[in-house]
Amino acid sequence: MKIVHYVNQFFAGLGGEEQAGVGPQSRPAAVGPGRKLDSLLGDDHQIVATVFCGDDYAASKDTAAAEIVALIKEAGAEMVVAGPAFTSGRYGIACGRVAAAAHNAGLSALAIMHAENPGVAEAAPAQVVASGLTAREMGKSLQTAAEAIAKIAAGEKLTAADGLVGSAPRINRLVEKDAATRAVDLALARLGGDRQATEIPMPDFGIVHPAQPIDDPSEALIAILTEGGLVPTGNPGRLESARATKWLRYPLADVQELAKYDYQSIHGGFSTAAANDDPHRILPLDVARELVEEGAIGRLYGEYFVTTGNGTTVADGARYGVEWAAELHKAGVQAAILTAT
Amino acid sequence: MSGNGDFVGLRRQIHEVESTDFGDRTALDGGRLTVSEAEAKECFKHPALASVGLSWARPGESVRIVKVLDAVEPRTKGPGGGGIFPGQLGPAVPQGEGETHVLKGVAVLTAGWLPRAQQGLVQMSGPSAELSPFGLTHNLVVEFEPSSDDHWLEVAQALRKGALRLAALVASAGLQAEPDRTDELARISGKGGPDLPRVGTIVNLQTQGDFKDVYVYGKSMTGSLPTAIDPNELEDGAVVSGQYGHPGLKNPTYLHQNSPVVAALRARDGIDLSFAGVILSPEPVDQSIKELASAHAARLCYQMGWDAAIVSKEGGGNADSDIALKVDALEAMGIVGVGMFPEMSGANGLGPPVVSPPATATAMISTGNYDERIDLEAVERALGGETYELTGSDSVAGMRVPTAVIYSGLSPVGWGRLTCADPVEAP
Amino acid sequence: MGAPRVVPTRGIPYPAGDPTLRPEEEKAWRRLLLETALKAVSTTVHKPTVFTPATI
Repeated sequence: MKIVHYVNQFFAGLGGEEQAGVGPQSRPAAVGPGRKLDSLLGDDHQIVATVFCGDDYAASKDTAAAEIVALIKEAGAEMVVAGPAFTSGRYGIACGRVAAAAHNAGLSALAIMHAENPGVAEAAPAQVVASGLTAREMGKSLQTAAEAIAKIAAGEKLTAADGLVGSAPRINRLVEKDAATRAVDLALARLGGDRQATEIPMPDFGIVHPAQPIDDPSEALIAILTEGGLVPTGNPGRLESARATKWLRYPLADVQELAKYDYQSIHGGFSTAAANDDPHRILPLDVARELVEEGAIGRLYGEYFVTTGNGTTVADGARYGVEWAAELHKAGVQAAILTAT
Repeated sequence: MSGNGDFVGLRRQIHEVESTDFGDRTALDGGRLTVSEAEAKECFKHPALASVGLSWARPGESVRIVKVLDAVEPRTKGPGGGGIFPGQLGPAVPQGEGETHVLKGVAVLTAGWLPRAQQGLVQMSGPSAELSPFGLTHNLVVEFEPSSDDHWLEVAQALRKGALRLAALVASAGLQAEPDRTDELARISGKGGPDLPRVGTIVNLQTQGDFKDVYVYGKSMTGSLPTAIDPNELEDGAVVSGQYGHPGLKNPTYLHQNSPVVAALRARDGIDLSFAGVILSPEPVDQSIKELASAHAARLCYQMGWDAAIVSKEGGGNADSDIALKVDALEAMGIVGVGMFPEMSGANGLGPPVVSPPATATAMISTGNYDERIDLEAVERALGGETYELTGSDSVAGMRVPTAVIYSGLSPVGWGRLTCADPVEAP
Repeated sequence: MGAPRVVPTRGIPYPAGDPTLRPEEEKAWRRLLLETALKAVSTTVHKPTVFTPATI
């Protein structure tokens, strides 16, 4: 099978964060970790090309996945393998989106990343197998990938034993017993000491690796953000009051303070009277400006990002977080203060 | 009370109905039920209703009922109802003892437009029929015309009481007939009993105001604390639905009369558990009152010596938290809490199943994913309205719909056999 | 939910304020929250850590 391998700028050998903005490019044959993967695949399958893209570009540009898949098709792929992305958020999101877009374009697709990478949620309907936490586990992760690729090529189904991650889709089916009878069975199983028995697994919210601290706030570019639904009055971007499907950005550069009546919170999860009376109760711009003047903060980022944290799915929330991080990183922001309602 | 021995409880006289039709009089003869249309229409004489129409929709017929509002099982305790549906048809005096005649296999369904109602449907033929309790019953369907468009609350009340009256009238056909069987349903007692785990159920009732309320002895539970009730009071219609939202997640009056959890617990009573009773709770709108009601329900269970409780809800994501808070409160008191959740996992089944999951009580039952799409085949006849606004199509047309519109299709009180999981076996 | 650096505030509808205070007191409270946040982003953490505003 002809495979095209997708990696980020770092694993393509281009460089680190300073190259995170580069757009999609293609190289013949395997590059970087692809060489090891190619050798693990033996003679049956071959990496015919490597497509790569900078993490910021891939995670923040709407059209990135489509551009990448176009290059992948051009290289004659029958199958796409993306990653391993380990726990890297932007890279994971990119791998997930590339795998999903490739699958939807009719290609066979597999992404490789840690089970807690937010990119897992982006990959559906394509499949994801687990990598280790960091690149130190590259060898083992590529081994898992090679075995999964062989199975997919043979038309076999991947299971958890193959490292398959991501929640299996919740599909309706009729069973013999009604729900009430099953509830009694479950109560008795629990009373019998089985503390795990359930028909719905508890959601796993994953782990977040803390960023390094900044050296000196008085030298830093700092952003203020909110999930409190604070938007210019009239809500020109039509941010939803619940189950937000997007986030928005509004300028702060020429805004000295958030005047009452100029801004409103459209959050549907609490009374917005206090927020509308003084929008600084949601976004502390007034005090941030004072701290800049006094030199406690170096500079304030010229925009604020906003979404509504109300019934938002964890997958969406994690995606907004990664996209915000990519945007802020690109702009050279070193720390962000996010108010949470 | 005519009793043999010292039985205390309710005798349920079951009449199995095999065929249904309209006739000169309301009568039951060898499983054949006839209903007098004139007598039936009398039940709906009310200034708020200009007219009503009656039709039968039977299992296997090429019929779809749209905009289903409520469903009621025909039951009576004697001439004129004899105290059935207390607080609705008669005074709010405690029921649940003596004899109750039940016409099994029949339901009275009201269907049509009301404010705040969401459009549930029942398909009587094809594979979707078995997803609703009422795809399997002979349904006497009541359609209606209001007298004016100004008094919808009165329309809803007239319709609700009319349906209850009609259910009692239809059941009166059983008073003269020999029952097919008699079930003796003992009153629940906290004393004595075998050394088995005490398991009961907490039933959350929606309390969101007009058109979204449930009545206990004729009154909404808004503002009430949870209370214990004998399951036999449910049999006699102490709980009546006036809630018309969330069709797939709806608990019609019929499923309070025939509580699936009560039936499942009774079936095991004295075998591997001791049926400990029923607690009714409101679903308050305010978060702090939700927490109060949940803590109070858990204390009631503790006082009554329960070892486990099965917790059900009515309504959407907001009501998930009424289950979650209660099972967590139970768990904190050392009582096993099992929540029954219709899943909201998105059309592709990949979203998180529960909007507001419990924090510590992890025993959950899936009653199916309400976002999953199903295809309904076209039918010859539709009742309840000519157009189905949700899809914008003619009510008889073939349509693709979310499972959420199938009336009681994801029954949060546990009627259905849908799930997204491998069932857990009892030890 | 595992946010690495957390500053607790007083109420969901006003994460950067407190409408029960007089305006100048409220602004001082908001300032304290922000100063605490600046301290948080300048501190090394290895797991979710709460930075409580030091009340004046």
